[in-house]
Amino acid sequence: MDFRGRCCETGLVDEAVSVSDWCAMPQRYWFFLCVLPVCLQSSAVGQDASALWSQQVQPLFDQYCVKCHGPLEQHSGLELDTVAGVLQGADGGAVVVPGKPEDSRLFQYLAADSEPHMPPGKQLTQAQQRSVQQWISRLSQAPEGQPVVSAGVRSFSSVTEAVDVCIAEGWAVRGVAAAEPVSDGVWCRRVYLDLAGRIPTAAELDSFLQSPVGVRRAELVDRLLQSGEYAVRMRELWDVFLLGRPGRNGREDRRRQHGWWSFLEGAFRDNRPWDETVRSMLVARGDRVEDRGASWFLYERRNNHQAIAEAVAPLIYGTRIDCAQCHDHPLTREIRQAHYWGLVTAFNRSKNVDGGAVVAESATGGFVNFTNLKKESQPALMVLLDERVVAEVRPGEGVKEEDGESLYVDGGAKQVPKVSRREVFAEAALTGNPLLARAFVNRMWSVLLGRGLVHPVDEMNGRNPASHPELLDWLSRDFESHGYDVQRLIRGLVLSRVYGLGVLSAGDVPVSAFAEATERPLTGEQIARSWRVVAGVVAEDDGLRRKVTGALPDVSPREYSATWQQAQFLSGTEALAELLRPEVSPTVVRLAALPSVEERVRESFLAVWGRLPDVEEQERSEQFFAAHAGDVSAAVRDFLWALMTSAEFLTVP
Amino acid sequence: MSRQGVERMESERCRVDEHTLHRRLFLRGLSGGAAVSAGSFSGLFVNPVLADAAKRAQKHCILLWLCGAPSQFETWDPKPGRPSGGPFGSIATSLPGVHFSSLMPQCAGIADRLNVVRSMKTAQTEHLQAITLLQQGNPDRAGFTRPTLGSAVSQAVGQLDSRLPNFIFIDPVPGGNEFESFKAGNWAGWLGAEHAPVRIGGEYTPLDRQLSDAIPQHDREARESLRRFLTGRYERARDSRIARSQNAAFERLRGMTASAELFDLERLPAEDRRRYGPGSFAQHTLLARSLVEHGAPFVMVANGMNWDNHVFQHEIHQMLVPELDNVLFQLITDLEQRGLLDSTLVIAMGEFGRTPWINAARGRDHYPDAWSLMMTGCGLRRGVVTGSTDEDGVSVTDRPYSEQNLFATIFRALGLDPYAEYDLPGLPTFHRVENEAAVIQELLV
Repeated sequence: MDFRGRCCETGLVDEAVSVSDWCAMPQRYWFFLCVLPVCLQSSAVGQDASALWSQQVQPLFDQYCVKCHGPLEQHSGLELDTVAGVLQGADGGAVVVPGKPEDSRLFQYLAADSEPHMPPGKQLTQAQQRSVQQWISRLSQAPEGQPVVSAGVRSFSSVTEAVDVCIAEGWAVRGVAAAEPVSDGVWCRRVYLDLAGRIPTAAELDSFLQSPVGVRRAELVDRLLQSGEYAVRMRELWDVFLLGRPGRNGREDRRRQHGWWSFLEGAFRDNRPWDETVRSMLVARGDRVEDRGASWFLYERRNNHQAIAEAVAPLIYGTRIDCAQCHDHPLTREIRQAHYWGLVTAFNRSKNVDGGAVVAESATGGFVNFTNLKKESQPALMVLLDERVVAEVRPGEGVKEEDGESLYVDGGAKQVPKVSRREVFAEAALTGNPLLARAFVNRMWSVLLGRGLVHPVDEMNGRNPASHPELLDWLSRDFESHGYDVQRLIRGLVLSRVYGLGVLSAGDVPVSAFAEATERPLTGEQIARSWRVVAGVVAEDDGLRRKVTGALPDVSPREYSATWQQAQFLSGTEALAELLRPEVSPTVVRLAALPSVEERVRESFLAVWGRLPDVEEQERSEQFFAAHAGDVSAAVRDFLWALMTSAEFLTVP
Repeated sequence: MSRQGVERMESERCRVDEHTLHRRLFLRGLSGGAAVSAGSFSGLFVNPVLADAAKRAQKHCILLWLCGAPSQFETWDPKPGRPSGGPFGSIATSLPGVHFSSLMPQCAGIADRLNVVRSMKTAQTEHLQAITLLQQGNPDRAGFTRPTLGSAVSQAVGQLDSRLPNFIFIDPVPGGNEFESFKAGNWAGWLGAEHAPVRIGGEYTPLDRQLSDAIPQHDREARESLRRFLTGRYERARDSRIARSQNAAFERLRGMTASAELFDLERLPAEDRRRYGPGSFAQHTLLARSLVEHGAPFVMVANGMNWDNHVFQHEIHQMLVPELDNVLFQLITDLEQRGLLDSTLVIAMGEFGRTPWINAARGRDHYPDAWSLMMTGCGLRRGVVTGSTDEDGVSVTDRPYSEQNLFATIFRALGLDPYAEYDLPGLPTFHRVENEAAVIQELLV
């Protein structure tokens, strides 16, 4: 069976594809860093070269050169996607003389009047040429290696210690000062949002602030981790990470009906080891109680084995591999077509059985070939990213495999084969695969700290080095060696000093330094629940949640972008009007009954934002009430509304 | 994906000096001569000089999207007396030697102001794929969503500070089978949500002030004013990107709410409404004209998927075509009278044509092998009928054109480079029109 990547079938696609850096964010942040050169290594000649390479030259080469001089094609035998490749040179000899850009063909060919001229048909700007020039002039003879790693592997006594020590060292190296920690009150609000998915009630905040100082944080975290709200909050996050927002057409109801939500909630509530949870999803057989609902991860994709492969990759490898459908990854060599089709192969014997959430699996078939853009064909084997191959007996050319009841555990039903690709693959992918732990650590770090140690969070490949490699390594090993204990990891992160930082007042400090709290928008679920807390409404309101998540669906977006439709929702939704009716909201009643406007303003700020207003805010707010002297409840409603739709409310403090 | 991915095309926008000044003043929050607050969108157009200059430079496009696909035999390429011809025959037009279907007498009268392409030849026979193809102008590439024409034009000629959305889509019909699927999809593709259309028509008109009857408008404004104050302080105190983005979104909303009356059919002149005729399609085309008069760059008018007449084709086309005929006549002549035809591209088309033969249900089925469309206005000649089909309309005999040729022509007519590359870090190279497909030169000025 010959199987072409779909994108090749149009026949109208160029043979090679233009490539540029896979992620937009580092490009933006390299611009920052042009101003503040960052020294990531401890002292070798060539340290500036390393920063120049990753921040300026590499993105430039990605966009203009790597298409012809990179993993896919090597014109004149030259590779420009890595420093080693550049130093190795072309068929005709070296293209750079380290330290001497004027003698380096790589630089010479960029000039407008050069012959030959690179890139063909385009001209790099003066600034771009200068980047290349500076980089070459700072190159040392030896190929650039990894940032200096200490001789031994350090040990830390806890997750918290590892985080605080490594991040603080990073501040010193970057020459930045960290922000002050936030107050306990702000910390409490932050933790409630992260672990319970809502702001604390006034009583909860008060109770926290009254409890003994030394232990209050650990106690709160432990209590929240045991609560049902934590399980729901984690399910809300991972439902979206694993399957995306359900969209229309009743998909959400089906997820719930078929036990997918219960499965996830159960996994987090019972603190199942993460590798076990992933195994349940990959094997997708609801034999045990705790596995029921797991099969929805495959089932919802409706036998689209490529979509399944593309979803599994970030889960077990930490990186998307979508690019590798039609050709090896154009930027990062470790991801090849074989890996993509290897993943597809692991799942392409699977087939949904109508009427439930059962994903049957055949004992035969699913042997495919894949072609690249050059039309070269090869058979797809179950290859993992670390090049281990899950062995299989492949039938010879033209030999038809015999299917039969004897090949199945369930005889005639033929849904569970004796040799199951899903099981065999899951076993290989979940044992001896350090990437599984890294992927989870990076993801939870990005949820709690606003940005992954590797950014983008689902692009943990050769293209994107970690901002704190030693820390990521340690956390991943620690996570794995402690049985993939999710709560333990989260507890450690949340109790670190780094998690509790406030905001810096000024300066262009790189986000990757984690020297201050990174801005994080609330999810729709957090907003809906927090609105209810403000209103003093206790009962669950699924309708409100649906409306808010419908209008504000993003979870951990790579780039925050508010639309005018969202503004329209926030400025006029019936749902919020309803919530703030005096008949519904005890808070509105209480505030309206207060004797003075001054008090009303203060109490409103406390109720919504958990803090007192400053002088200017107090004055403006009192003006607001003065201008709406008529119906007090309506004025309170509108005042609360303004507070509840302001950025301060809609962001994690 | 990339909201910043438009640098390469920046130079095509807003070249007129007055307009550049206008934008800069707006962005700096200055008043540009008249005492208006920069925060008020409607205030921006108070200064008549700036407003006029901006309007003169603006190009527009009105796409009458005849979804489901009209029959070329009953519109632009009649075959009277042939088995495929149908019962309606043909009439002479103001262009010597050119005939349209007898169902289009008014367009026949202004044929010298129209252009017709009779040799469209495309590859998709099913609605969803064909709609996608004719909306995106290039074949699909798996894994990437190309922006639709409206989004591409919105990004290229639309304006940051316009009081109207850059891409307005008027369709009152919630359903429409495959068209409904398309409507639910991603129209802006890699250009990002800001270039998605604002949908109006029927229940979709979003700026309905009756949204929350319980809360009077002035209360909402007071609320918004306070929200703006508070979020503004937060934004400044923390240099908050989130706050900035939110404030921008609320500003946009304010601008649009201030223009809400522009979306109100009731405010259109009664005489115009009578001329265009009853029914959503006619009234919405009139609305499109009005929106263009107020500066809207791209307006797309559809009415569900009503042209897909697999059953009783003649009967239904007998109703639809004369309506289209009148609507086009009114629109073109109105634009001409208002001096807008030279800056407004008008396109009337479906996603393919219909079969020369009649099926058992007295209908015509899908036919992409040879079909027609009409386009005129900005950047195009007038009175050109190009391409031809054989005597039965089965195949194209002269100058077959694909969706890529069509889109190349549309972009060129609007003064845009059809082969410009999108600047999309992290994605393969994409152009507005791929493969350097040729323009339909005989249509272009």
